[in-house]
Amino acid sequence: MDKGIIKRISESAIWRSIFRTGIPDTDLKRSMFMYHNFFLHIFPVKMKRHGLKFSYTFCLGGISCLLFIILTVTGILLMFLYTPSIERAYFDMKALALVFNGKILRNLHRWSAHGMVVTVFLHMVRVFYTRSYRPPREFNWVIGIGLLILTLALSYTGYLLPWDQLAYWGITVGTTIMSYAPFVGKYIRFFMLGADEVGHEALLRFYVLHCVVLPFLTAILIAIHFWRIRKDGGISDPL
Amino acid sequence: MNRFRIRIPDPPWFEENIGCENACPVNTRAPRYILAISQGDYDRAFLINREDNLFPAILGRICVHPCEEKCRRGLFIDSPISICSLKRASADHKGSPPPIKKVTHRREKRVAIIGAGPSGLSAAHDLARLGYEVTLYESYSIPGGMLNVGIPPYRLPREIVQEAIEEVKKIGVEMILNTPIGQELNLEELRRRYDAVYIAAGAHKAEKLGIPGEDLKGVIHGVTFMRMVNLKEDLEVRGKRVAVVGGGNTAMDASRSSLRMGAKEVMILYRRTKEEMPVDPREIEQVEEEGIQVNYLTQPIEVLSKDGVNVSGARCIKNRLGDPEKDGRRRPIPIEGSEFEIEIDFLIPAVSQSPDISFLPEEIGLEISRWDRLVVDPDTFETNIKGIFAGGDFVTGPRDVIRVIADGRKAALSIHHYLSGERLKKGEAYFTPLVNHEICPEIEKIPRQKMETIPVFERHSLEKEVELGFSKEMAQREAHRCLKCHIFTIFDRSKCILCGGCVDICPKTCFRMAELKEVEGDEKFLKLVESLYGSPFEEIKRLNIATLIIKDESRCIQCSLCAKRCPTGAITMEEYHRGSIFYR
Repeated sequence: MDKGIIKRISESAIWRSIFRTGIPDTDLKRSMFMYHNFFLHIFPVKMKRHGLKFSYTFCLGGISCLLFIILTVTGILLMFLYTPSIERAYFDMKALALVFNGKILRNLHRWSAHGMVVTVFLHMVRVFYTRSYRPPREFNWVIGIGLLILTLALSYTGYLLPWDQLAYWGITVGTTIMSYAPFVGKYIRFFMLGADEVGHEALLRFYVLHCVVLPFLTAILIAIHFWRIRKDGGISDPL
Repeated sequence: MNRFRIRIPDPPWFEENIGCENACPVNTRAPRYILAISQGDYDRAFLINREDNLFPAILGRICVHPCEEKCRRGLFIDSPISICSLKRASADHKGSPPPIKKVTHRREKRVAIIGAGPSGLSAAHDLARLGYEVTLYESYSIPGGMLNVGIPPYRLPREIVQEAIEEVKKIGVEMILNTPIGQELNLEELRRRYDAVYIAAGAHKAEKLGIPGEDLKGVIHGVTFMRMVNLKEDLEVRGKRVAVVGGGNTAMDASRSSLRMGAKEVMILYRRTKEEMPVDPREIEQVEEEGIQVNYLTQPIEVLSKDGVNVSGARCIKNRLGDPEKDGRRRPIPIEGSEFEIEIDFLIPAVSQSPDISFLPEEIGLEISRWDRLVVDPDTFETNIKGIFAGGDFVTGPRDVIRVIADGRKAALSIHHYLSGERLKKGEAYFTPLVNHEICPEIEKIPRQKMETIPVFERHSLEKEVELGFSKEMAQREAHRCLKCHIFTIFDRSKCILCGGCVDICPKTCFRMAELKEVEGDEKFLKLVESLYGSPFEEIKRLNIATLIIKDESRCIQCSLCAKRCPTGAITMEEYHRGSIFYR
């Protein structure tokens, strides 16, 4: 028993068949660890030191991404408890108070959504003030704008789902504003609502957009956004 | 904006980047023999060594190993590979490697070599292998020069030297001992009898300290002292107090030999500090272990005598260090009023040696420099007299064994050119791709192996070797530390898609993606860029259309992660091969 328990485990055949390079205590082993590990291999092995400085990024992009993940997880759980029909939507929402941790679930989703709008906006402010929108990152800035629009669209489509007075009139006012667009306004409103006024068709439409179409597009754009960061040479250089 | 200097790899670039090999005066292919040792093939390791430096067993013990100073591992990770000790291991653990091939092609010409030291022996060896009839003239009763009369046997056992001499004899070199040139036989006579003469008489003349009392009985200069010790001449040191002056190898040898011969007390007086000492730190460690007192920042200013005949003491002065001198070592400055006296029976000044040129006849008209050295062409080793060549310590003053061996071997090639008109060309270097190059993940964690020595209480004989050498296991472990700088990452530009995978994965951050405006290069680089893009360089730079992947080779540890990561197979690991620069 002259070997410590950690050493015995880390030198065992089972451990070594899973973690091939051992504890990454040298530069070489750190690189090998990233290279051989499924979960780590998509990450960069190294990054610029200044990129780790909190006051440069304030982690706003990362926080936005984390909030999106929280929204996805809580959203999926909420889908188990919600029916997108005008007869049941409001009562399902109210019934969440009776479900185990249901209130926390709904509020996590609600506040994360508000938070994401704020952090995405602040992230864009940070990118703007650090001049990170400039070449070679100009295309990623455009993708970022797409993500801002999707974030707002997700918030708006989610607004109707509780089917309460606030939701009903919010969407009524919103879609009425849309109809004021010259020539095509009426068509846009009909396209959004699936009918002439906010009703069952609109709720279903918003539900599908909110739960399937928009999250799917957002996930794809987030992936491209992250991939482009690496392709464009990592985080921008300090000012 | 030009932050990076670009060089397109060419043969000299590859050679420069194998630091150890390039630093060695005979370009010993160290990574190759270390690789052989790591595979347990000691015979191959020995043969590679023998081709390059002739005497691995000797050099493995006493070489000053300039290679280790340039070892990439020593420069960037921890401490260098024990290249020198591995050389010894290759000789210690060899089985029975094939003997040196007999010379088949005999030539008519005859060459005389003055001095059977390392330089003379290596020149004789190479010339004999080229088919010349070689005769070595040695003034002492034994050949070997400083190997036998300068270095004590506890550092270099005599049978090892003898073995090397026998090998040289075996290829047909005649050795005439006890024949100093300039007495019965002189240089002119040699010139008449031989087609070429190589003078490698070494630097056996002691340099004096130039202080009062240096002629007293009991003052023996280091090189003389060591010769007397090694030739077992009458020298009564038992029970005496000895002070050795100097900080070089001769000083260490003289002090340690005195101790082994029974001196009551031995001290070293060195005018600078430990940092400036021009000896291997391992040797200083051993000196201290053996109980020799080293007085740093101390120098003698007068040798004292009570009876006017024998040494009874020395007056010394303390120094402080001043500004650095030309060689980078700080100048010692005596501190006024710090004089003190020591009681001693022997003073051994071992500060420097010089060649004894008194045997060179003036009538021949050999050119002598202001510093009493024979003037030779540094490339051909030719003197101003046709047919007379000189090299080794004789032309430069004391250096080290590997440098004089290099002189001997280069002079042999030059003499061959002089006698035959033929200029032997270097063999072409080439690369072989490695299919599965793997590196041990723990490589950076393996510590430098420490060589075992015999315990201090056993170090009372001059003959008993102190260092025991590496065991096979230790040698292999040490060899596994080698980064194998002779393996290179070779890039196929046409396959690279500039994905940056190599830049990212490299654990040592060797790679970088750069724009043209960030780099500067030579004419060759400009031409390459122009040929790739078909426009003038400035135009390409202005349009910013070229992207470069550049590599800092000096940090590479040959882990091959870049080659594995490369999605297009643009990077391959390839091993650099070349033959010995002397065996042609």
